[in-house]
Amino acid sequence: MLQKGWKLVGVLVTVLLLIVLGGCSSGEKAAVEKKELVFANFRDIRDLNPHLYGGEMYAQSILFEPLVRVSEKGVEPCLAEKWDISPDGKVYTFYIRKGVTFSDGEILDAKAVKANFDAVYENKDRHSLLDRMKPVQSMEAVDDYTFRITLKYPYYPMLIELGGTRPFAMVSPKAMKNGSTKDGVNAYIGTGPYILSEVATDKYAVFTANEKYWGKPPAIKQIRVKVISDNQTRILALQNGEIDLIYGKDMLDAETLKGFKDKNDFVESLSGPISTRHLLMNSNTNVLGDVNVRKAIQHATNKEAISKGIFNDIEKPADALYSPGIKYCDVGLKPYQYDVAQANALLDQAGWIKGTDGIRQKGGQKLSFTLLYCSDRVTEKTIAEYLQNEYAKLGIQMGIRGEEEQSYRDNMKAGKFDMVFNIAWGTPQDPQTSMAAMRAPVYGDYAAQLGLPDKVEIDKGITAILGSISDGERQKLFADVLTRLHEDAVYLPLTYECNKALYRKGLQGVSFDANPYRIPFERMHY
Amino acid sequence: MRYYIIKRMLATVPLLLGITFLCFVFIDLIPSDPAEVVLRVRQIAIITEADIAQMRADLGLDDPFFVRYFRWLGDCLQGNLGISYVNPTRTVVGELARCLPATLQLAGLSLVFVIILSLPIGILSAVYKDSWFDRIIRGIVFLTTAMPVYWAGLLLMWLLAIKLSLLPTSGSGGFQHLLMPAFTVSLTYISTYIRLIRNNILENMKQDYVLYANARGLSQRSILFNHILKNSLQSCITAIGMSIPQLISGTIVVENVFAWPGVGQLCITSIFNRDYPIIQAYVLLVGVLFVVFNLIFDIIQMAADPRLRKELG
Amino acid sequence: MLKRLLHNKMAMVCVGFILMIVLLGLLAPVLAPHDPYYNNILNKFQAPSLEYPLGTDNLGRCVFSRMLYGVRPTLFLSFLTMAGTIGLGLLMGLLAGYLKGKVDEVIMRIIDIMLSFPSQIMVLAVIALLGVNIQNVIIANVFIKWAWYARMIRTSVVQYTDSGFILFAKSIGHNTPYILWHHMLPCIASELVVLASLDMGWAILNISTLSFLGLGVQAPIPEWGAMLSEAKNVMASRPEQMLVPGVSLMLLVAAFNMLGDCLRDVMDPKEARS
Repeated sequence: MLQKGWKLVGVLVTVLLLIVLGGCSSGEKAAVEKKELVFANFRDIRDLNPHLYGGEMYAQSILFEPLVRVSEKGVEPCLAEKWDISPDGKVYTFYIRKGVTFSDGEILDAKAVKANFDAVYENKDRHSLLDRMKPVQSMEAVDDYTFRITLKYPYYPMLIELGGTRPFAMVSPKAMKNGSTKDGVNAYIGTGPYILSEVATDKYAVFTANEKYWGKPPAIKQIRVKVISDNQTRILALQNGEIDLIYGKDMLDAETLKGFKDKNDFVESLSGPISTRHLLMNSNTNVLGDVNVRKAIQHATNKEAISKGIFNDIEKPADALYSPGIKYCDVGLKPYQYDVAQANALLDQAGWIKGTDGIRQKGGQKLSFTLLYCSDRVTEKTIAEYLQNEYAKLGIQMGIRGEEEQSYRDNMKAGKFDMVFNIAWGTPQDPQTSMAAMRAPVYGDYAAQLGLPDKVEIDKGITAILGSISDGERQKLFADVLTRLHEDAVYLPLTYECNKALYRKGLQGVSFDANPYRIPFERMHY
Repeated sequence: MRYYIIKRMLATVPLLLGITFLCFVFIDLIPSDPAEVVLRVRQIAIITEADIAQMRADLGLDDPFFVRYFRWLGDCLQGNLGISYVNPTRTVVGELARCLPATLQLAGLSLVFVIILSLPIGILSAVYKDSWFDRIIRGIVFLTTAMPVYWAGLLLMWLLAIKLSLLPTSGSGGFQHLLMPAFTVSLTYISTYIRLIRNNILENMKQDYVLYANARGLSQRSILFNHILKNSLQSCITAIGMSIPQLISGTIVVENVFAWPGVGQLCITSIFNRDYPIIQAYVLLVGVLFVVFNLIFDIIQMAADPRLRKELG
Repeated sequence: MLKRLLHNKMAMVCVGFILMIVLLGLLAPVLAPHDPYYNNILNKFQAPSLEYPLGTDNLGRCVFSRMLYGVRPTLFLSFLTMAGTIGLGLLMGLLAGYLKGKVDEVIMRIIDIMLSFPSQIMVLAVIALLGVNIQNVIIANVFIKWAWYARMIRTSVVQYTDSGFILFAKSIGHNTPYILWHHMLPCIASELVVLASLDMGWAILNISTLSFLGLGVQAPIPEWGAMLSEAKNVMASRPEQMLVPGVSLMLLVAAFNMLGDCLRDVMDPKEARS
């Protein structure tokens, strides 16, 4: 019996060890030859169909390419070598680059381009929130390498929007499901510099250089993207050499960057300002529906302190929703100065009196609301906690609530928030596409503006902008709408965001694209 | 004996039914409308009341409670646990199947650590009762039980991965990735089992048969190995065995800290994403595992320990 | 028995330590040098100094003040959970054990089902259902743990039900509630105290773990587990932030565990002799 007892233990231990060791495959080989770049993302790549919005942008943009590309210098050729726009702004003709094939061998010609546009058009209700396909009257492949789009009315952002990976990138027609992509694609086959060679859901994804790429072959032949959801763990992994690069708008906080400055093996890289980090107040609620409350909050926010204290000056304070440096946005808006006395005065005048518990109230309603933030973004919680304390000094009771990316987006879209960290489009979508999106529940803008008395005028103004032909007319309309939004005080700009990269020394060519969500892996090299 | 086994197995059936019922009630109580969630997740641009009503009819949400319960139960038995709300392309069973091996690996290695470490230390601690070794061990054991698991994990991570660079910080991929998380999980249990084994051996040492064996002149060593351990081990092994489901479910926090892609991590993500089908399936899975393991180890214990068999009559 | 407890040095040390913590928590408004909610963002991550005895955290708040004020949610919430759990468990256990028959059967089945789930999972599931805030955490904990107590208490009650003095009380006509309160309760009180003390440690760890995962106490309330969670967010750059709340939690829980162990030793006549 004793023997049995010990034997039992022995067997148990051996069996367990075998299971454990056997199960552990050498899943990932270390990136020994420095031809592999190891990157980390906070979640899985998910569905990379570029005609829909359910996957990670950085991956979609190295697999698929659109007709044109937008850079700091403007619109550049990509799959289209050149293009014409008719004087009335209604006809766009594209001359497709010759000799381009998809990674499965299919030829990219005007027929393939038309197939792609037809697939996107078929799903136009999905994209109608952004007016992307609404103006389209017809699309045709004039000849083998000429593609023409005719619009019902002029839509000036068309060219810039066609430069977006979503939804206008080209998928191989062979990969479509019966010529359609709205229910998904059979494989992620594009014309881009990389192909997706291996995926282990929620663990890692491997991209290898596309042999058939028409452009300059990328120097880095293989990219491995590990899924590391926790921010700190990502940083530790970088420190430990398990990953080579952290890149993104909100993946690195200022403290970390400061800490890495002393380490000689790492390089930090910052882009110029690309978008505005801002909060959005829901005018369709009881408390924040009062414009005086909104204006008081504007005056109660110390953006200098946020810029200096939380961002260590990496992000500069912002006073307007769109930086005046962006075209059409220098309209002379008067900033809401940080002035606590003014904020208090505004609230007093509006009838919000401090109660015995220090919280203001008016007509039995407490000045109390909740700020929603995304817990996957590294600095939002800190900003939220800071503001919570600051507003408390004025008798404003703000609770904070953090949710993961998916449910945060869902809640924001559905308008289920009092105050939220809005998602900024950034260049080159600012200001035209971001404003176009204000007319429908894409991010939080639509829901937040619903309670505004001049919402109808705002929407009308935006629609007019999109259809405008002359620069002068456009500028006037922008001034009108932007001033309205500024006076309505629903947007609380905090800082100008910049893209940040932290990587191991040795990696070269780390740069920033005009689109903040793109990571130009093809320009990196060792 | 066989009669006992059958009786026990039959007794678990109502228990399992109760568990499934509880799980189903749980899902029924969720505040959000499943029809609306499905529509939203499929990225339908504008959701109208008519769409929701249609989806409710499609999903059969308007049928009476028990009809839905038995339909769900039937689905479960056939292996269909539904579709993830967040990623409609993934089935719940698929998600669980994908993540379960990782958790089992973690639990497995933790169990190995527990057995390898707690047995010798527990025995030595009992044998050298009240010596400095015993006191130090008891002290360490105390502190480890009192430590929040995630803190212990973070400290280990900082020490072994950052300071000493011996192991990778997180993620999966090889044996070294498994070591730290497994050790962290095992910490809580090691302390408990060291105490259990120690107390058990001490208990046994006071028994009459030990006195008798001493009187017969057997060596201490022989008494220890041939008699005391035999008796202590049985209850200890059963106790360890019964805690296997506990081990599997207890990996949640550690998986979160070390980014280990197991079922626990899936559960936490699902809670934050409000992916109710997955939460429900996870709770069901663990509940069933608990019942099954308890049953198995009850039977093993009954088979192994003659004293308990006597009680059956 | 109380005398034995007083003589047990370890137990006294633990009780002393716990009482000291409780006192610190109660006197927090007096002792704390700063407002625990006051943040001064430009002052973050200061080293310990005279003004900030334990330094400042990522928002420039005084860590020492937050630790002092943090005693309240950490201990108070655990205590509330314990009270709820024991209350409900006691009631159900007493009813099941004393009344026997049908009531016993039903309650035991329910207990079996509740015990079939590991507590951690059920707490998470209930929170997922009810939403993330501290009331729900307590409700979840009570909902899960009462079964464990009920079972223990039922066993004890069954043991004592047939004993002499209970039968005597029944025969002279005392009604059930009276018997339960005046006779049964004192019998099981000692075991109850041991369980409670051991479980207090579990409750504290549980609440802090939930706060750590983001499911428990919400910002900016200072709770030791929540503070650890915040420290984790800066672990790569400031690992030392993890020390103070972690060590304090560990010592507090260890004190409760030790106390429970000592109480058990004291109650158990066999151990007392050795």
